[in-house]
Amino acid sequence: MLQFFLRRVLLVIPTFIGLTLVAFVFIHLLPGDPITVMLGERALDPEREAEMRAALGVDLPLWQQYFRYVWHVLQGDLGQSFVTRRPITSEFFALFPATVELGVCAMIFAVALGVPAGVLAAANRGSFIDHSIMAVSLTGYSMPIFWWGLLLIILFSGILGWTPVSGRIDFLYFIEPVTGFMLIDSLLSDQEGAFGSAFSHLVLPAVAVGTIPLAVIARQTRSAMLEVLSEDYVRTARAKGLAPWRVVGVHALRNALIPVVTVIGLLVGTLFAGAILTETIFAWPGVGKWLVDSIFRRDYPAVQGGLLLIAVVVMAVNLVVDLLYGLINPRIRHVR
Amino acid sequence: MALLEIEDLSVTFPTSSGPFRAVEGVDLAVDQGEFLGVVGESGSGKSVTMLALMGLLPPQATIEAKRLVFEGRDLRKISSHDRRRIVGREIAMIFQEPMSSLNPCFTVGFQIREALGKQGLDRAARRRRAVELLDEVGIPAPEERLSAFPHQLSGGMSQRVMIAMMLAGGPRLLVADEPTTALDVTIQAQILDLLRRLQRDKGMALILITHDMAVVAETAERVLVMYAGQPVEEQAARGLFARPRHPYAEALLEALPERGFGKRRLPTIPGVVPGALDRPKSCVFHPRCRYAQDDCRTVRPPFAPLHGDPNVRVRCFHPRNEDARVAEEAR
Repeated sequence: MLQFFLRRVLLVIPTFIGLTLVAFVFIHLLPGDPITVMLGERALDPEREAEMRAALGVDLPLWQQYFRYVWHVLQGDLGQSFVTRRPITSEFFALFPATVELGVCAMIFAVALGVPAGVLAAANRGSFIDHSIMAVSLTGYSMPIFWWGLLLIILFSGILGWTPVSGRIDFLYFIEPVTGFMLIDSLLSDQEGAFGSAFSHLVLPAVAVGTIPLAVIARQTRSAMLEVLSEDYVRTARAKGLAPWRVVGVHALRNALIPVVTVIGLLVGTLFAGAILTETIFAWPGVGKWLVDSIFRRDYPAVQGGLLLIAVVVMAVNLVVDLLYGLINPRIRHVR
Repeated sequence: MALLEIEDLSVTFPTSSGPFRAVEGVDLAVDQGEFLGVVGESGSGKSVTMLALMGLLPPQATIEAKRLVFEGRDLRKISSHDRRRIVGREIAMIFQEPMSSLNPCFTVGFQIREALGKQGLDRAARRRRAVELLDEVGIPAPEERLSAFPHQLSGGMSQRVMIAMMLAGGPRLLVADEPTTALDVTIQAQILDLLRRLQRDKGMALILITHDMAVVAETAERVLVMYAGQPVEEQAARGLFARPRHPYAEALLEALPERGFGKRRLPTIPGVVPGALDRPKSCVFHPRCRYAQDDCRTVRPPFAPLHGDPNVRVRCFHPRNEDARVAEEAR
């Protein structure tokens, strides 16, 4: 187990090197020159321009720029935004809780619906229920998020008027950011209706972000369940005279969850991709929207730093999931 | 009254080429505390018969029977809820692959305690009972084994755990479906000894399914021989080994290595077991039978008591070893 732990943790190093390389290279492949953008119409003075390039370090050869970059990253310094002049890390982490809140709620939505749906489909294999669940899930999976988000807004905000269109909470409330999670902060603020408002703002974006993971989880659960249901130990459970719900919901599901948990870990990446689009549509002030805004502003350090931080988060979540894997799968836990 | 009575049981599976009768015309009765061996090749319907009794067949399977009675209760008529109270408690079953029959995600203790579930015991009592059960099936250091996961056990150990788990409900009938096939020869003997001991000590009826005639010879009181989904012969083990009546049973016994002593080649049964589509409408064994005559090719023989003796039943128009009977009667 310890060996498994160590090996998994060490794997983080090459992944990290790869990440920084990709983040660095891709940004330099983008067309457009940030210095030109920053200087704007005053970029007539070549001396002034050279001075600025030197100050920002963009006059160095690329490989030197890379090592400088990695050196700074390791010290937790991702540079400053070209636009706001504030450190990337403080910008990122100010907005990060909003994205985490959205992502966690989306994942709760996806797991809470996806797992039971997959179990239901597998338990009724080949039936009308199975086919409908799989058809809905395929539809959900194929739906482009930006379009799906707009449809949700049109239906629930526009036609039905049940939910607000954008933001995290009504302007009526002023919420002191304590944890950065609006659901929690609104409860802490003790203001009447604040939590309800925060919740109703969160529902639609969470559904939009959670739809693809929901579909993936439902399908994965179904196929894992089908495999497990034909195992000998499921027959044993039935031979013990256990109730059907216990056979399926305890004996089979516990085994089927092992691959599902891995998929959930991998879906965290999908979640961020979804958050970028969804936050833009719902004007959700998280890192996704900030990243898109930074791209439009050609704010190189922000984009680069933001991508890197997101990648590090995805990597960390996957690390945790892999380590958790040992907890839910006794066969891994006890290997030597 | 017999503990278990099965009359004219048939099991049909839908296949892409039409319905397939995996089992038909199975008549079977087991008395309290009796040890019945069920013998046959793979695909002869032994396991399917028992899975049908347990209600463990997939829902696509159609089970029909004139009688399916356990301790006077008609298993065809009771609700699935009542049936689960019988299955797992009064009738228990162990399987061929002990390693994969235990759930890899739960500890041995959990799986045994779960089988004890509905008996109104508290936690500590359930734990004590689980230890007792493990001790009873000959597992050393049973306390420590409670927290073991199945992958930490050997095949023989797993089968012992399975047996302990199935004993939890205090069954009247234990069905053992090839319980030793997946195990080493030395372990096989141990498990069979254990099963026989438990059967005697607890006065429990035992149905042992096997393809190994030698296993049956050593253990069972009565034997049912199955071929291609049908029972072909049933009599006391001693009688069967001395005087098999059905040509198939006779051929099986001749093929035992122990009996092939001094012969250069072991006798075999020519041909193969008919598959799903080529089962004869008449006697199922006639294509491979040395003694087949015209009636065997046209009419299916009934599974009937031989010469009015209810203890010997044969599905054959021309039973073997009649001379011995004549000789016996003459004496």
